[in-house]
Amino acid sequence: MPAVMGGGAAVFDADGDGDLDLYFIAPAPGGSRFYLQQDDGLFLDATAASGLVGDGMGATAGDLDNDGDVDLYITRVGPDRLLLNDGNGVFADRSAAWDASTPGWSSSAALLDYDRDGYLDIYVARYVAFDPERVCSQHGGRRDFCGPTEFEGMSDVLLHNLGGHGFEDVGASAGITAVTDAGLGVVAADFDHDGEIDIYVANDADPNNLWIHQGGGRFVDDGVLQGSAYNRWGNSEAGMGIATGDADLDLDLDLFVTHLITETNTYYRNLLLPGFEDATIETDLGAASLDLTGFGTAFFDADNDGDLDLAVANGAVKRRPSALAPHGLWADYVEPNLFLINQGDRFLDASSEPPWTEHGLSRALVPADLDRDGDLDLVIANLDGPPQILRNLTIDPEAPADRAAAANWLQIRVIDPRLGREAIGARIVVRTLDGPRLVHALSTGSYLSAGPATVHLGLGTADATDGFDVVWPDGLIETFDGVAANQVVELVRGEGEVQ
Amino acid sequence: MLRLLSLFLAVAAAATLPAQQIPEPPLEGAETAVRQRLTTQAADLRADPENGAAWGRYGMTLEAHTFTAEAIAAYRQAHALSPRTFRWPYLLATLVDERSAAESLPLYRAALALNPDYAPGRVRYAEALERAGQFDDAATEYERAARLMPANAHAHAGLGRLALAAGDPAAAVRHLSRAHDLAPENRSFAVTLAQAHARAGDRERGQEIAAAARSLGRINYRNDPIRSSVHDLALDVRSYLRRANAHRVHGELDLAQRELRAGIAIDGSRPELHFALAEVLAASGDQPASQVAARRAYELHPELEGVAAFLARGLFQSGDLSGALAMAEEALDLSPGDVNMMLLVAIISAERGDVVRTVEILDRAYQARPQDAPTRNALIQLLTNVGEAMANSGLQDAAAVQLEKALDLAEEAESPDVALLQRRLAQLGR
Repeated sequence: MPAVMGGGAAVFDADGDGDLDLYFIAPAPGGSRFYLQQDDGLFLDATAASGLVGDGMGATAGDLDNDGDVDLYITRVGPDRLLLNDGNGVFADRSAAWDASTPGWSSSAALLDYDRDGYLDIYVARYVAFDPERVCSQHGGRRDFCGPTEFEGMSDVLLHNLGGHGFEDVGASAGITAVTDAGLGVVAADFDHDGEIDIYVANDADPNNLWIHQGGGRFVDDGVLQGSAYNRWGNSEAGMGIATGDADLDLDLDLFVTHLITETNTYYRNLLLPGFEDATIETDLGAASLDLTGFGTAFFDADNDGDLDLAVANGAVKRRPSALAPHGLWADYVEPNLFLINQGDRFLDASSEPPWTEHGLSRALVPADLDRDGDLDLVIANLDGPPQILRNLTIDPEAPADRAAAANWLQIRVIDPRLGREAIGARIVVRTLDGPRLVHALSTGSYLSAGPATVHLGLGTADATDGFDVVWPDGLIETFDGVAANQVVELVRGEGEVQ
Repeated sequence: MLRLLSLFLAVAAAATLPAQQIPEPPLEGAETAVRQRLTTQAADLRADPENGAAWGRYGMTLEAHTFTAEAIAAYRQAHALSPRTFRWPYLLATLVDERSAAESLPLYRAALALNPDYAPGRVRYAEALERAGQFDDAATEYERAARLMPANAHAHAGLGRLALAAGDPAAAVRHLSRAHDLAPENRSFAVTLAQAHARAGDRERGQEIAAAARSLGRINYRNDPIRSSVHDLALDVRSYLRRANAHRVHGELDLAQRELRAGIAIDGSRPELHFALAEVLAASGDQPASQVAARRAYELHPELEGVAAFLARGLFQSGDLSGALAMAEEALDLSPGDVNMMLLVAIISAERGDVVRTVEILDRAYQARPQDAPTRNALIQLLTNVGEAMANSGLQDAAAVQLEKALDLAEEAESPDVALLQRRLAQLGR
């Protein structure tokens, strides 16, 4: 079962040279691979030299000891691992010293500073109490991979960072161990705009959790009443990956959760006060996914037109009713991925052309500007073959200045100099001629995935922004002046005008 | 005349059909009974390929064993050969609906033209319309279904969902309350109603309903005899268990028993079937037969989850303390965190005067800190009883230790026993 559920991917700057490197995590022993990006844009296998050998399910990436480089927390079927970066892309296992060996089957993990002490804490979603001896079959008796309902779910874990020197599991006092659901995806952000960071967990066959932070490190699951635990039909679905972003441009964070075949993926539109509504049908986001099993997913502005599009990595976990490949080990499981373009109030399925028509068994998916040309490429981990990098051709990497007039962009790094790192969890309202845009500095989401915390914003025809309002993770609000489009801008805490 | 004309049209339709290949599913690894049934039906079809009903039956058997693509092909052929039969386009529509609501709509319409008053079918058609985003038409169909069958909870739930999505939580509460009243076991209706109450401003009522819904099962049943008849055909062990469980949920213990016995008749080597039968028999009050079935499950698979604990409880109830203790210890080896088994071991050990084992296992139960109220209360009671017995024997310090543990748990549970335990401990000088 773990073999069909993995694996993850982390896209981050491991060696601090300004470009993004790639780490693919595989459940098989020794199956993980780390690639350093070279100056020419090619990737070099640096697995052995980096210390990133071993196995795992997924990863989250961030500066856990505030020393200015990106560290890794690896989720596994078994004790998790904490790998601290020496600043040059060489990692050392500090799991024992930091008390970070979370037991059981961990899946996705999210970074957050829930207690605002300046150190990143980790929410670890855990899946099921897996028993490898269990044999499962379909109706008819044919052997197949087991599903989550064959096992007990596990409670999740909240690791409180003890000043950059270790972790303490505070799950019980935080209230999150009250449920034992089969967690697979997790994102942390302030969904209700009360100034406290909340946590959303996608559970496989169990209702999703919306852990609303009550303050003081206490969380209460309000998913049912806020409409994000069950879909429109009141059904709990096979929640896998999560995309989050302001898809309808109304200045709050919406959610999109991927699911099993015969279930649609579900779009939970944030209405803020009453919570969320399932707007999957209204936005045409359901039909395309009904015959597919979705995992990694992300909202990202693929065409830099100012709104968020969607990509979904697919691949079955049980034999499909009809195979899409003629032969091969995974013939009964492979599926095409999905690309959906935001058209304002609806999404258009734009998956009818390559590479979206290719079949594979995809899991992690991370958008990132690998070639630094101003558009977001996609990194996809496949369990039936090599990973894919889908280079975005919205902007020609050979001639980025020749971009189309409606494909302006901005990338934003929010830096807290006191911490020496990017301010993961910061909320930014970017004021533009076309109206305000809400973005968040988040490094995790999707499925078993981690990406850069740098925010990418498509600006369409706007060649500048009017200004930025940044809500820092500790609640401080600062305003910054606008900048010209088509650059990477750093917003540094303390350099804006405090509100 | 009309009948003759229909017959002529049917024959004409069949005559124009291309020769249909009989879909053959991949049966490698399938259970023997499944393989035999499908092979026999395929052979019957080869002998009589123009028989629409035979194609339909073949489709139903295929679908029952999740050979969906093959079932769709068989239903299509059944519909083509027997165009006046409601069942085939209806079953075809529901299967196509799983992949594409929009593509299923003409099939539902074709089916309902043959049997317009089949309310479960109207509801499914309405749900397909809702999935396809045709909300006004969906509302019309839900209303029609509710008129045809006022007790159809799914029709009322559909109207409630549409009202909620349209921003009318008061109407949603009204419709969903009706659905919830008609099918209180349906979790989907309950949680949607809870959400509607919250949206209407009554979070407290919403929380009450949501809390109660947590204990409801995940699978929701609906009264649709034609669809149910498909699943009744499944011959694999999982399906017997699933059908039996459905009967249990509805309190139909005789039917659950019949399903499980039928499954055992086909394959008596499956411990899950014997254990499920043991549970049903116990629920029916037939303890001796229940123990026989559980013993058979245990013989086939001693480590089957829950069977040792089940046997231990049964042996205890029948007065066989030695047998119960041995089985409970075995259950604890398999599930070291099972507090209920710890309590059973403690009770038997106390009964036999084994103070050391009693204290040891009670401490283990105390360390496990059970959170469910009945288990925690039972543990508090046992600790209290053991403490009192020790006090009566003059072992004041040992008694206080047991009572302090009971007090600790009682305080955590905010139990009314707290005051009593505090007083007793004070009497013991604590």
